[in-house]
Amino acid sequence: MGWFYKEVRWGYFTVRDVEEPLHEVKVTKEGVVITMDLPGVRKEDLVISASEDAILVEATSKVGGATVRYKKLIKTPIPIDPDKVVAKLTNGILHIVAPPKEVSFRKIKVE
Amino acid sequence: MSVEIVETAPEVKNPILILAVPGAGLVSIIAADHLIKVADLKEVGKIDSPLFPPVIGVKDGVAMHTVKIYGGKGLYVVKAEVPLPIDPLLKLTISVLDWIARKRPKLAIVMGGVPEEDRIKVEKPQVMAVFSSEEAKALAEGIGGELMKEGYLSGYAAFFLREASRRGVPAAALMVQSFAAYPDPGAAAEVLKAIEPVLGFDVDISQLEAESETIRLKLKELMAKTVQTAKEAPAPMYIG
Repeated sequence: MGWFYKEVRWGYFTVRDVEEPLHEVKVTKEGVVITMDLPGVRKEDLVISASEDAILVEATSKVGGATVRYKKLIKTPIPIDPDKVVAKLTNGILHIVAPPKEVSFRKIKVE
Repeated sequence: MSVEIVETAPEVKNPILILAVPGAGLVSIIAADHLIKVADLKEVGKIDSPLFPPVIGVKDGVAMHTVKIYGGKGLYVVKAEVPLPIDPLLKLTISVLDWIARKRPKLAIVMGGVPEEDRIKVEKPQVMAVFSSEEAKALAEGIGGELMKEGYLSGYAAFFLREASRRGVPAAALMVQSFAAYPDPGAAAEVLKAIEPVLGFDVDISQLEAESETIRLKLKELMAKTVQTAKEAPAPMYIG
């Protein structure tokens, strides 16, 4: 559905209770790679939780005198290993690499 | 359907034109906003067309145009406040070049971001300069950025340079490594440093750097809408 059919108000700079950050999700040979724009966030203000099929990012920052709370739950396109997820924050850009879950195959006896 | 340009102030003769439209990293929008602020440029015109998306700006309850012309200090900045689909964008560009050609401009400049996969690792984004002609290159002497020696440039900047050339308007495209989908004030600052020598006045970027986080948050929605609109059009790229 294009612009014409959506009456939307946007572009007004008022900080919401919870902001959804801009983010990108890609699947690479390393696994699921997520980047997220979190202006003003320091690593001590950031909480990342991972399960086998989702990553939850929560953060708080002070931007232009206002407190901003970010929250985003990302369903991963492939199953991931939550114990091997690594994250790095550089100038408010979060970079998460979530390696794929190792799959083991079991031989099935045919009766 | 045409594009209508209305000037509301006396014209600037032999101006420099900067055309800013939303694109990768919103580089040109951030740079244009900062330039308008530091050079204290005034709104001197508006551009409208039935081809533009049904979006209006609103200020104090009153509808406003989303493509505006700012002027002063021998400079025009034409800024589209909302992303335009490809056809209206190309028609806007042609109309602006026709309009500025009549004023015999010193130089027409388009700025843009070139999405860089590893932008996060790039401390100082590299600016690349391409000119519409040898004459434009000579006229823009002193402009920063590394001259693109050889190769191909495609996308919006290429269209702008070609159409400027067809009209005899000396033009430059300054492309900077940027984030694709996140507002990139750092890249915008590098472009401003590059164009400063041809503007004839100082462009203090300290405030841009200080307000970087606020700008990123403020432009979040415009960035998301730009990404959505750009999905229908090819991204700028260069081979070289």
